[in-house]
Amino acid sequence: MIKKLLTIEMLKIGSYRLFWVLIFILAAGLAASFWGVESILQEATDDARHNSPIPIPDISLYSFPGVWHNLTFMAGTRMFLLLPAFVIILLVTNEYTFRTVRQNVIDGLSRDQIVSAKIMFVILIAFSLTLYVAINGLLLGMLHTPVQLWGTILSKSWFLLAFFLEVLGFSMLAMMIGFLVQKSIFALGILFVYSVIGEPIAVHYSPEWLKPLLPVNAIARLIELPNSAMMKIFGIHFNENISIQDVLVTLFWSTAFCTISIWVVRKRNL
Amino acid sequence: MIEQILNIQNLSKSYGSIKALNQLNLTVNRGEIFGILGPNGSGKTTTLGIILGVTLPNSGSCTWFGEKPSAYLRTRIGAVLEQPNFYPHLTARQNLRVVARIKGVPHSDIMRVLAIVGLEHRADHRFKTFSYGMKQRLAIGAALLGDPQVLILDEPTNGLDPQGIAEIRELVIRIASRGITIIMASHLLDEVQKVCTNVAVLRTGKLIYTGPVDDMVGETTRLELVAPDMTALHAAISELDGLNEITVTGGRLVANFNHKVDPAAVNKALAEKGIYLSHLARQHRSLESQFLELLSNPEKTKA
Repeated sequence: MIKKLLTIEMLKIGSYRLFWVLIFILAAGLAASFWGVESILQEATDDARHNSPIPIPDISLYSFPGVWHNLTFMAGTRMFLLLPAFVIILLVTNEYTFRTVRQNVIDGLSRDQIVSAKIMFVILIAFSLTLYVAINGLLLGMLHTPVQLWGTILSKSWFLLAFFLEVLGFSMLAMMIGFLVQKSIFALGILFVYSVIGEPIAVHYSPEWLKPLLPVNAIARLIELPNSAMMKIFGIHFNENISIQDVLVTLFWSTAFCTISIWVVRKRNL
Repeated sequence: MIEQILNIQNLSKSYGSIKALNQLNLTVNRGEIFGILGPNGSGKTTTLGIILGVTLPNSGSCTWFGEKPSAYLRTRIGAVLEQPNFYPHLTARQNLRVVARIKGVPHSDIMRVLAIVGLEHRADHRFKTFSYGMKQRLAIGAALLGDPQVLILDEPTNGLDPQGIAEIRELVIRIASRGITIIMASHLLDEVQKVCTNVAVLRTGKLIYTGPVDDMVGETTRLELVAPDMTALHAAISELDGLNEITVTGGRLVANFNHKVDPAAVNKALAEKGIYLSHLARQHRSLESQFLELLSNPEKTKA
């Protein structure tokens, strides 16, 4: 059944140009920022070394194992999370615009299968994106780590898992908004306003205990800003680990978004 | 043995304060071309939406092939509701692949149905480039995937030109001749009369007639006659049982009876009186007048 539903979803995007254009923009944007940041940083250290009386050690964002934290942090910024979320919203709301959700049910899918297919597609997107970041990380890491040991390469690679959860949670939110609102432009607007303006304001005014429980905030907390040598000097310390609480809260919200989607599709006329 | 395909029991559906369907009961048997006839807003599409699982009823139930409706049972039904719904960016063939995968039908069936609806030369063109008639035909083609036992069509000739209308009607009759049960909603009496074997008439969500189309067309109660001696004919007809009224128009005598009349018996009776007819024709009351009568007289219901 999983295979059948995923095959159907793949057939639907087969020659859908807009989908592939958005995916290409996402992949190109990620690659550009991964590889571009490195060259800017390299230039800056070269420059500093030139003018500095004391020797500055080689700092690379991309040596193992730090590369995993640094890359997933970059890929997990709001801008990059919004793109796959927009893709999901488009695919969900298209079904209502083209009234194909109705036809799919008439042709023999159940309402639950309609939602399950999209949930599986979200998982597939999150997995593919994580794989893409992992491949980039592996390449960059190998180029920037003089001594490569499996132990160093794999340590901290659990940041990839956290990144997977970030994409998953955020895209599930997008999917639910798509099923609730059914119109692409409204759904996109609501997701953007909520995640960029609404929740940050809500977080600002919330009591401390509530802050880590809000969905977008919990997702953002999964991977915090990586420590750099410079920050350590200034005594700023961010969490370099992934907190179990953030993982659980993200998983809770992802499940809630799926449940609400299933419920709303069951209860409405199509 | 008569095999029940669809059975609807006490189905009701309201949209806000509007009662779209009110305690509907219907049965469709195998092999029928069943027309659901009614003006716009009478509940035809609501009925089809409910039996196809996309509209949720307030009360009542239905069974397909004697079983509770399910997604699996719907794979054995081909249906087009309102307009054709496809992915505009996909070609005809790609769209049918989606449907075939949902129905669990092999891809090899796609060219067969495209040939039936005359679209094989457009198989690899995108849906959005199609004319409305072609979209409609593709929808019927999609509904035919996997040789369904039942085909459901909603206003199948809506928005088509006369040639398109003729093509679709011919297609429906051809499909029915292969033993597929067809349920068709229409607001066109003429269409139902030409295509259907059975009919249900709806008005504001209520069933006001259901039965064979032939019964609805009714019995012959009017005869048109001409004889060389019109005066003798007039006198002879006047003596017949159950005569309601005689009118003479354009040299022809039209006799209206209160009950079914057998033209052969009338002819015989006249011949016995030495009146030989040069013209005798029965006049059917059109379905339209029956339909209008049913709509204006809600008491005349027949279960």
